[in-house]
Parts: sequence; C-alpha cells; structure tokens
Amino acid sequence: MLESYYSQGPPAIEGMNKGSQAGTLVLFALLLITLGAVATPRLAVTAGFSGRFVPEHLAPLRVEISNIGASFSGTLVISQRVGNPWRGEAESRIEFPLRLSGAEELECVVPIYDFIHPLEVALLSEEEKILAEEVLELRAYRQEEPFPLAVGAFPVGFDEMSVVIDSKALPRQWAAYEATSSLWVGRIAGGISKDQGQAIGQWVLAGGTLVLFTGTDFYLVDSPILRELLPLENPRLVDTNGVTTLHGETREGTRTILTRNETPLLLVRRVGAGTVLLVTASAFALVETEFSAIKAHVPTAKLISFGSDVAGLLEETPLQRPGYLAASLLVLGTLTSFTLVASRTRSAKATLTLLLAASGLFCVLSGFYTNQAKTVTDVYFIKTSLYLQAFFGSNIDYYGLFGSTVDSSPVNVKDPATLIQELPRNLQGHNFDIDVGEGTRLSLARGESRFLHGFSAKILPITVSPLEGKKVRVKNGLDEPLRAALLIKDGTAFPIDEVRVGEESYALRGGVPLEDAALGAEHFTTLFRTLAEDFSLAEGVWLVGAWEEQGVEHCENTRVKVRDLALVVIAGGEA
Amino acid sequence: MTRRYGLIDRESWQPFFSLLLFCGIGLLLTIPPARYVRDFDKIAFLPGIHIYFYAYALFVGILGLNLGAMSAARGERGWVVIPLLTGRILLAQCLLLPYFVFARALYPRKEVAFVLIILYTTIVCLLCAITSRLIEGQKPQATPRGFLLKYALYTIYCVVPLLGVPVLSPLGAVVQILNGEEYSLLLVAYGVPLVLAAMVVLLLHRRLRGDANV
Repeated sequence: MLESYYSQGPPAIEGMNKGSQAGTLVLFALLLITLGAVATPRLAVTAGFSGRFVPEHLAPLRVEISNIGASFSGTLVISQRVGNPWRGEAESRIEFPLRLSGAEELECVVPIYDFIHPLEVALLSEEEKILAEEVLELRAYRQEEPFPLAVGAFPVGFDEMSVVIDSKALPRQWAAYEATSSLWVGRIAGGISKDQGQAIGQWVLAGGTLVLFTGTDFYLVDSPILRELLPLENPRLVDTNGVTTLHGETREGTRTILTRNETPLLLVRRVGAGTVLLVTASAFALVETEFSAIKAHVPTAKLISFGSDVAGLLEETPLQRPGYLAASLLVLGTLTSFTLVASRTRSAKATLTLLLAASGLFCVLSGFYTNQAKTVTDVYFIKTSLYLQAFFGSNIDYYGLFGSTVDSSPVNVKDPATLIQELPRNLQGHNFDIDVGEGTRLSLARGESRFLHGFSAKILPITVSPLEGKKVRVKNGLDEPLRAALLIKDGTAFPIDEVRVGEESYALRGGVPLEDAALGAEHFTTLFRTLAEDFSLAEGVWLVGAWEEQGVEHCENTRVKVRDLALVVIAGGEA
Repeated sequence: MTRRYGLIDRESWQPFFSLLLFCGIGLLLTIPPARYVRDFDKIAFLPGIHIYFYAYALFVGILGLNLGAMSAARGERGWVVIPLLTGRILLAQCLLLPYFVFARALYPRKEVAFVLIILYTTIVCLLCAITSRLIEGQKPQATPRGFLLKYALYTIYCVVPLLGVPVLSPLGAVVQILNGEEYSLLLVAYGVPLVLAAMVVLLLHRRLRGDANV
C-alpha cells in the first residue's frame, strides 16, 4: 500500500475508501481493546496508614475491587517475599476467600514482614486464574518503629511529628493499630463510625494510647462508644473567658495532668491496659507550649504480651515418649526367654512353638505399653488466649510451637485471628514460609521453636454484676466452668474455686492484695501476673478466670499435641 | 532315610541372639533422652538418627551371613537350602516383632513403612545368606578366607553406596523407605537385592547341582 502510494502519486477516491476502511478497522480494534479493559476486574490497593508501616508488624490493607460484574467468587491473595540470600528467604501468603455482589472495598489487616520486597496483591478466579494484580512498593514508606497516628485536622506544624490520615481511613479492626504508638484524634468533620470507634476502644483496652482533643470539636466525635473511654462522666461544654472546654464528673482513677487557668486541660485515665488522654480543649485552641506539654505526657502504646510466658511454658513442656525402663525390660525379657527356650528345649518343634509364643506375648505387652500417652509427638503447640471484656472485647493470642521429629512437620493453626509470625534475624536452615488460608500452615524442623501472635475481637458470654454487700453475680454462658477464678474489687482479689455454668452469686471472702493473688495452677498465676503488670485492675469489679484444654490433633501425617490456656478478664457491669 | 533339618536348635541360636541383642540396644538408643523441651538439644544422643533401623538393617545382613555359613557347616544341600534359609530369616523377623511394636511409639503412623522395611530386610538377609552359603561351599567349618571375603563384600555393599547412591545400601534404603521417598527410588531399593539374590541363586543352583553330582 505504501509502496503504491509513493510510486503512483496521491490516491484518488478508491484510495480514500481504502483509507476509511483501515480507519474503521483501527477504530474497531480500539473498541475491542477498550471493551476488554472494561470487562477486566480492577484492583486498587493501599497498605498501612498513608502508606506508612513498620516491618514485622501488622498493617491495614484496603482493596477496592471493581469491574467484577453482578456477582463474583474467587480469592484475594496477598503475598510477600521476606529476607535476602544472606539472611535467608521465606514467603508469606495470605488468602481471603471472596463472595461479592458487585464492586466492593475490602479492609483487612495483614502482616508486612519486609520493606525490601513489594507486597503483591492478586485477585484469583475460582479456577485460580489471575484476574487482576497489583504490586505495592514499600521501600519508601517504612517507619523504623511504631509511630503516632493523627486523624482529622490539626494546627499547622503538627503533621511533622506523626502520620496524618483522614477519618475515613480509620480501621475497623483493632489489630490494624499494632504498629502505632498513639492515636491522636483532632477535629473530625465526618465523625467516627461505630465500627471505627469500637476498634479504637478494643485497641485501648488491649494497651493502646488514645489522645482525644475535644472542646468545641467534642460533638463531632461524640458517640456512646467513645464516652465509655472518656475520663469524664456526663460530659458537657463550658465556655470560660471565651474558651470552650469539656467538663464533667471525673471517673475513678482519673488524674489531672495539666491545667489552664485552674481548669483541667489534660486528664488521664487507664482503660484496661491502655491509656486515654483527654484534652478538654480543641486542638486549635492550644498554644505550641501546651502541645509540647501534652506530647510529653503521652505514653507509648504497649499491647499485653504473653510472648515470654509462652516461650517459658513451651520450654517446660514434657516430651511424650516411651520410657527407657520399659524398653530395657522388653529387650531383657526377649533375650532371656529366647536364651532359655533355645538352649533348654530339645525338640525343634517345641523350640519353635515356644519362641513364637514368647514373641507373641511380648508383642501384646509392648502394644499395651506403647499407648497414645507414650507415643512420640511430632509437634507441641501451646496457645494462650487472653479475652479482655469491658464495654469492648479484645482477644490476644500467643502461640508457641516446637517440632520434635526428624521430618519437617506441617502444622495447621486453626484460628480466625490475624496472625503474625515472629521471625528471627537468621532465616537460613529452616522453612519460615507461612500460608494463611482456612488455617495457618507452616512447617517445623526437628528441635525448632516457632512463635506467633494474633489479635481478634471475640466476645465471651460471661457477665459480672456487683450486688449489694460483699456479693457478685456471675453469669457464665460458656459450656465449661472456669476452673480457676478471682473476683477483684477495688484492688483486692477474692479467690473462687470454680465459676460454674449458668448464673450464680459469689460471696467475696478471704481477700488478698492483688499482687499476692494466685490464680489456681502456677502457669495461670504466671499469666495473671504478666497481665496485672500492665492491666489496670485496681478500680471497680473484675472477674479473672482461666481454663485449660489439651488434646491431640493431626495435620496430614503430623501428630500435634495442643495445649490451650485461656485467661478471661471481664469488667463488672451494672447490677 | 530322609535327613530332617530344623529351623533352630540348641546349636544354632547364637546368630539370632546377636540380632536380638544389637537391635535391642539400637531400640534403646533411638528413644529421645530429653524429658522436657528445654533439654531437647542439650542431651540429645545422635539426634535424629534412626539407630534402631540402622542396627536392624546391619545385623539382619550379618544374620544372613551366619545362617549361610551355618547351612554350609551342617551340610544342607539341594533346593531345600533356600526354603530353610527363608524360614530361619522369617523366624528372626518374628522374634523381632515385639521391638517393632515398641518402635511404633517412636515412629507413629509408619506401620506401612515398617512392613516394607521388614520385607526389604528379608530380601537382603536372604541375599547375604545365599551368598555366604555359596562362598562357604560344603566345608564343615568356616574358613578365614571365606569369612573375610563375605564380610568384605557385605561391608562394601553397606558402605560404598552411601557415598553416592544411598538407596543401594541397606542402611540407606531403610531410611529412604522410612521417609516414604518416591516409588522409583523404592523400586531401585527393592530391585537391587532382588536381582543380586536371583543371580546368586542361579550360581548356587549350579554349585548345588555340582555338589550333588560329587
């Protein structure tokens, strides 16, 4: 065509027709490409707070899925490589099964283990075909350590000290705050949703730090959930000399840290393991020195950790195996009976019969001895669950696993909690790949210990109500009684043998100071003491109970001995 | 008058005793010594090594060598030698059954592997027994040259493959079976002693026929 154009000069009408045909073809091709693009599912992914995250911590992940038609079934896969050839390498893969009816924005919490490797998010069809993919580069957004997070509007200059987000970006799962050192709530025009408020409350209960600026902005964030956290009861705004501040009756345990013109400016209250700092004025009504003074009083969030307790419990776990004495007796018995029969019996037939009979007898004895309790276990698995329940419910799980057999043993941690694996500096020599789907799958080598922790928001059907006099009513809706329990009233612990299933009143007798209290068995007392170090039990009525379950589970060919220790901490409500 | 051959009698029990003794020691050494997780690495003796199965594979072969020599010393001849040797090997396996029942507690869910290992060691033991019988010929007493030759051959069979193709050695093969390796590897593991045994049986057949003509 080009050749004829140049050789024959400009084309006439025929040539123009050919040109228009070619144009139509190009347009048609473009249309097809566009249609193809329209029909392809799309992903828009954001991770962390304004992209910020701390490696080896949890972070929120928002995934906007569009162009998927009226209904969609498939899987969202989040994967990341960890480490390098020197440190050793591993891979984390998390799968979320999806069943969507139209475009949707999903919010989840995922561990980000590394900042060198990108986070890969893929949408898979039911046939495991990749429909859409997005790769998030993380290198530029890494924070060295947990950071203050600010939500809403603040005066100029505040941005430098923290990561600022819009209220819409506030997570609905409290685990997302794991990498934040404090949450500062300023002027939020759109308010905070119930789920977002609940997540803040759950995080504070578990050890988070909330700094709430109120004053003229109070009613923008006011909600029944946030009122539960406030150091003031019946809050109301009072205008003094042109400055509006929040007033009310201070709750038990509240301390006034800063004042302005003899009016409280900063109030602090411990809520569970966390701290709520209430600034009675708006962030915009403060001067720089007041900001600095407030900042100096904000503690870093510290979630309750049973990490070292789980490591200790795992170390003390007895290993299941047959005994040396039994094995020695079997060998001696076999040798003695064989020697006696073979050397003393004259008839060959009698020798054979007696030998076979002796062998049969020792087989039976050996079989009786080597029962389930004497069988070598591939993996020992300790789980500690801490259920914190006040107005909110937070659940913190710590896991310790130990592999005792030669083969690399696959383990399935069946738990809905958002899990993060604690990785050592050196990843060489062991398989640290972790696969989270319906359960969490990982492999353990012989003599290897592995630790994980996770967060969720389970609520247990237990309520505690203080009664008149020295009595407390407990309603236990669990299937099992709490085998060991303490009722704590105003810093004094009253031991209870058992909290039975159903509703029952318990008299508070034989009280001991909180620091001397024991919760049944030694391991429960150890966990309780770790809890009491960080959790404020000194005010009000609390029930601390515990139970333990043990069993053997199988994952493929791996025999796993599971020990599940649970501690519940429940705040006393209205009678 | 037909001569009656017994499987075991007062003169021939020592090789069985050795097998039971050394496998028993192997069984004891296989039990992990630590009682608590904290001691797991501190007091581990030969950690992660299947001592029982190594002892079993090694001493079953030695039993075979002894049974072959014993058969030669007793002047057992004709085709009856093979069922007699097989019977004695099976008796040894029966005597070891209590150890295997006990070993189930050390290797849970490995029952199929146990059966395969017993089958494999029976073949290896038969191979060793026939080879030994072939080497010893019809001599009433084992000769030092025969002794050296058969033990040298057995050592080569056990050790040399470990340097390159472990599955060809009884010591390597039992571990491969225990670990549930690929079928192709297991076929090689079974195939090698089976083919060798068939070859030695053919040689023995000629020798026995020759002996019978004498």
